[in-house]
Amino acid sequence: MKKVHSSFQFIVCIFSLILIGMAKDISYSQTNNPLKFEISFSNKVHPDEITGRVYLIVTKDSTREPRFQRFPNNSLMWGKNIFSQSPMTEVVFDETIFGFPINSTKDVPAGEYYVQAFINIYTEFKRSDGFTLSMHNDQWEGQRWNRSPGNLYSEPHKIQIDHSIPKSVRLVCDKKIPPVNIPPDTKWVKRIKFKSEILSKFWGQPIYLGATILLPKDYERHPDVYYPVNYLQGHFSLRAPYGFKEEDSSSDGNRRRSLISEFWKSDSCPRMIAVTFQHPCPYYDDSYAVNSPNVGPYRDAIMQELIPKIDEKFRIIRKPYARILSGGSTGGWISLMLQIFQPEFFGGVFSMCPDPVDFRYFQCINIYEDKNAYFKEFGWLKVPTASDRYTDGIVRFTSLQRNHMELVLGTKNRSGGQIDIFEAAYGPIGADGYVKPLFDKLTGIIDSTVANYWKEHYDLRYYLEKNWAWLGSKLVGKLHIYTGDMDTFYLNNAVKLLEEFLEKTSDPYYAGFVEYGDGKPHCWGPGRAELFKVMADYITKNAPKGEETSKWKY
Amino acid sequence: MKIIKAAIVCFEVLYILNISLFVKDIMAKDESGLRFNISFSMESHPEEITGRAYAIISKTDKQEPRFQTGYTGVPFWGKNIYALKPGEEVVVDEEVFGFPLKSIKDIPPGEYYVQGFINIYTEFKRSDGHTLWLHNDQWEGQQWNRSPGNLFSDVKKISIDPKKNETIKLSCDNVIPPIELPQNTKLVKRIKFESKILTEFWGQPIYLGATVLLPNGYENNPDVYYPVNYIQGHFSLRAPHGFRSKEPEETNRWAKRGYDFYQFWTSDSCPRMIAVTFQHPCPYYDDSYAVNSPNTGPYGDAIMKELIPRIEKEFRIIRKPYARALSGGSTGGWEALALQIFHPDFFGSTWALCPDAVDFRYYQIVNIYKDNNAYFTDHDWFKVDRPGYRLTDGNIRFTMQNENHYELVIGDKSRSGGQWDIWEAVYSPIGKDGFPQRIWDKGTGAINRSVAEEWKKYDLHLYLKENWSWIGDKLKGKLHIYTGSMDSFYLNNAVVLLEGFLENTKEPYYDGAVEYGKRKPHCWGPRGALLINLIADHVTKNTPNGEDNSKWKY
Repeated sequence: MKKVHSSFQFIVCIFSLILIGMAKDISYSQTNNPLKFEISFSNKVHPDEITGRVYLIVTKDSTREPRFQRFPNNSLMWGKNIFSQSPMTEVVFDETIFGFPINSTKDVPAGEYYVQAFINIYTEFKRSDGFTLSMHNDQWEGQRWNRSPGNLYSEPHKIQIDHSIPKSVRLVCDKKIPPVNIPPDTKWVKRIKFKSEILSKFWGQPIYLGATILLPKDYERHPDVYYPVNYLQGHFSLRAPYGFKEEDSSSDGNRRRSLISEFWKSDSCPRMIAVTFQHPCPYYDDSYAVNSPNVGPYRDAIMQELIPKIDEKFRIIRKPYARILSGGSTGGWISLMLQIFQPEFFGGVFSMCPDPVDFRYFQCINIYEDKNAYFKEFGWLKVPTASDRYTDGIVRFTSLQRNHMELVLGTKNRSGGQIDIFEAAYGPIGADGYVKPLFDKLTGIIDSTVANYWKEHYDLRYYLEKNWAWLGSKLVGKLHIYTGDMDTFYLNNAVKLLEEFLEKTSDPYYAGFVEYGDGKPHCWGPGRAELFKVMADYITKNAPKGEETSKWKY
Repeated sequence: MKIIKAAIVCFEVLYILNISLFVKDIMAKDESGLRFNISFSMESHPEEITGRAYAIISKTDKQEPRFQTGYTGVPFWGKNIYALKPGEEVVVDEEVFGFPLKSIKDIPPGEYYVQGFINIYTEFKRSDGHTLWLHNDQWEGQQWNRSPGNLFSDVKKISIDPKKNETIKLSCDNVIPPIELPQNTKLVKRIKFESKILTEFWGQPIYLGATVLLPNGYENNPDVYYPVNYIQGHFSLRAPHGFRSKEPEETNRWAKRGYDFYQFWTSDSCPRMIAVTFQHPCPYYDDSYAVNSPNTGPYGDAIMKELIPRIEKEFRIIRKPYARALSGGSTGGWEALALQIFHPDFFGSTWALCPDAVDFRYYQIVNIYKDNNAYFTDHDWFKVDRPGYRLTDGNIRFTMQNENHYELVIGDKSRSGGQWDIWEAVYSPIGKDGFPQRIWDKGTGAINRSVAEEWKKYDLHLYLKENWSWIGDKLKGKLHIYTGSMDSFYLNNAVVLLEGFLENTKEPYYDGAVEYGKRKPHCWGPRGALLINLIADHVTKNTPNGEDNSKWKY
């Protein structure tokens, strides 16, 4: 039997070697003829060269253009930087280009898809610090690459993906996004927009600041009345503060909006002026109102240019007790930071679900102790670090997923995404003039020197603790924080640490409050009308002796 | 394409001719690499063994490797053995499944402490006609690494490089000695007896036990009958409520708590009652979950018809429902609730802490009726790990897949003695091979919907909802549930659903309590003195007219 075996084995051996050889040939020829996308733009829509980033967007859903699909739930994206690309020349997307949620186009399952190409155009900024940066310049749309005026896109194409057949898909970006429509001023809602001297000087390009002002009922009829002001912080928006709608909006289905609008127009609403700021920067839809080497002197610009301009144009009581900050999420952090860094200028803050106020909980990352932002290691086990959750604890995205999404949208913190702006606002400048990141965007490895820089600049709890001796007395009674205890981005944890510090303060005790919503997600806090009443009561209570608070209560 | 087809045809022909076996032979001979050869000696175990062998490695020798395994423990690999004779070897090679390293070829080169282990199975000829091999509990509570009779090797320190062709021989010559039973004391008594009902079902002697804590002055008051607290939970031979009369020398938090409880229990202010824990390890787990199940057997019957009557005969217990209070946490929380619900007339109240899933829409964070996969939330283009355990800040300690793969190394066919496997044994119908039907594929997490439907019998929320019209009256005022709002195993979610039902009950209103500990982990709720007082008050308040409840209050 053994002899028979070995002769058979010999034949089989030779045969299988031939087969393996052939198989290799086949797979080699496959990788040699992969799926390719060749993307260009037409000189009709853009006659000049472009430096920027090209996206390839793929989806199964034909109901909306791929660029408007929910990424990454409904769409796949790949991104590639271009440098001085001429019109009518092609940018090639092959299997080596990084994408999310599928890293390589070669791993897209065979089938029918809708594809679209997109070009996010960068502007050259010759900054006053000597660095020249290429970044997308906001067009007053709030750094939304897929809606930003001037950006280019192709028609969506229906294609078949079949990796066994070599295929090259040509996509021409021959459409251009039109400018943003600025809503007209009305009796209730006024808008300001101007070029900031401070910021334009820093960025070497015109940079604009704006404000949207909601006036109280009968503002015109009371030309002698000066009003308290509520400075609302948050994401870029051209809508009226609080989502106020002049016309009866109960029919559009947005009950919350219609409720606040009715309340605002009613007799029971405290008469105040509500103002939102618009300060998009090259990194994000807003600047986080910081002075930072990466985003520039935005806090200076807001304090020295924007607020004085608003004060000049509207009848605002120009005293601290009458200036109240509020905001949620990004705006929760900004409002808290503005109160803390300008403790005497503002009279109080009502901050909801603020972004990380203590970097020991930068969401689920302890930037001072963790080695990696994407995984935690327990002995032999590597467990993903979560980024977003539902209130039952199910994880929506991991930290790696959220960051890789941004990495597709832009390299060097140019995604216009949340983590990239945090790094720009809190972090130091890198050798190339872009942001020195807290962690490697691909691997998650944390740079502890950057973490220390963050600590010394924008860890709010640390700042308060370090400076309480002189700062505390200026903040007594002013800090009010709300958050859901199942905050979607785990932001309640940092609030908890801040609360622990605040509750321990003495000389003076902080005398504000921190409230948690049981089982509530981002962005829990009081309802708009309720908050408004709370703020009005607070102003009345804190008005210095001799101040007339009855005039604006008509 | 044609070449591929030709190749496939050739391979098919080869396969049909059964020649492919030879190919495999050649391959096997060519393979080089690491392997662990595990055996046992005639001296340690003269008979052949059916069971499971493990190879375990660790980086430290603070403990033997067998004590370092766990969800976040050291790597080990498991392989079934069938009638292995003394001196024969079972080979753990790179094909054998392990956790947290899947294959021994994934071991990073380095120095390791290595141990072999054999978990011995017993043949059960069950009364339902199935013959099953399972590890028979030795009154240690189904801990494979500590179970008397199991075999382990000496620990070897070895340099491992999985690329090298090396065989590590591990002879399991050490036998784990029998358990030492604690002695009865004045206040702590122990019962253990062979259960007729269970022995008949399993075809092997199966034991039941109870550990009884008597009140102070029990002997001096021979006429007094006492209320009883039946405490549910994991197998333990320790006294109920951690009662410990010796002052702990070390700073052990649990021992300290037990000593505090002893001082309370023997003080004048402690309500006099009898506290009892049950011991009912089954072949699948350290306890049976105290219900009748086709896989674990008629444990509910055995506890109600054999164990409780025995306890109530040996000790002076008030044999009336109002005087019987159930309590327990986690596993015991579910049991305490299930016993109350399935025997609504027999027990007078239940105090369930952080109960295991009381609604299978939140089987931890898997909805077994709707979700497709237990290990991942599956979106169209990406997956996110389902967490298995969290800290109170929401950080994940291990995932569902981690836990299940850990169990899969310990045993196949639900034989790990682990948490997910016992739930499967208790709630699932019996499979063709006599083992429990899988609720999900243990490898991939894919959920079997038809098995999920069968679980509905044990979905306590569903059972209450469907039976409230007749059971409601019997349960009025009896249900008390406690859980941390950040339960480590996400068990609060199912409690929230149950609470939603209970709070809306009418005819009658349930009139019990569901309480949450803010930001508290597993297993939050009243314990020790607090719990005893709650129970005593409830018994007093619910004493029927004509009953004397002053006697036991001396």
